[in-house]
Amino acid sequence: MSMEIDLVFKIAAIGIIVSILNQVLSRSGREEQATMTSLAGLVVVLMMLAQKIADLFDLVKTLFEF
Amino acid sequence: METFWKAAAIVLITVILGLALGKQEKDIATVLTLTGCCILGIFAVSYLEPVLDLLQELESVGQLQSGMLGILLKAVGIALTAEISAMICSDAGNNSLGKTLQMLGSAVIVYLSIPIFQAFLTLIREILGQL
Repeated sequence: MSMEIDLVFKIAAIGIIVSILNQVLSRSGREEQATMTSLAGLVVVLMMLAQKIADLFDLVKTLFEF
Repeated sequence: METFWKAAAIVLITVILGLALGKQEKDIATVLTLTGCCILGIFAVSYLEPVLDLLQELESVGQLQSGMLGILLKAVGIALTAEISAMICSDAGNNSLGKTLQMLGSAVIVYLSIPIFQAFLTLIREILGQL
């Protein structure tokens, strides 16, 4: 259970960090780096989520006899 | 039962974190929502496990035709997955993708239920033949 909520907190933390970095880079005139940071954050978060989606689909497949 | 309260707490925390993130990083907020949905889906499907065991027991007691319950369970699984995915698409602002996924789910369920319809037709023919 604690593992599950940890994932939510991790993703939220990454989002906040990426948001702050985005702001700082935008204000200092590095728009393209800000975009790349935002994209990298999204990819990292998606990688974390992919495992969870696979778990859910595996569970549904085994339980509903696919 | 304890899990339900914990899951409710997870949902509330996810919603608040998603709102906080939504102003700046909408994509990561959507991923956060998706994570919450995955976690809750895993909980919900885990709770359904004993119910499915009961259904299989009922199938053996009622001596139903084998394979029919399997088709029904597959249909339920597809419907659940399509519904959750479509709701997430709607939340992310992609209503069209969500609706198309629901349509795909319906088509697959109709495809899966062809043997049931055929069994029904055979039954009707047998009944009519006896008259």
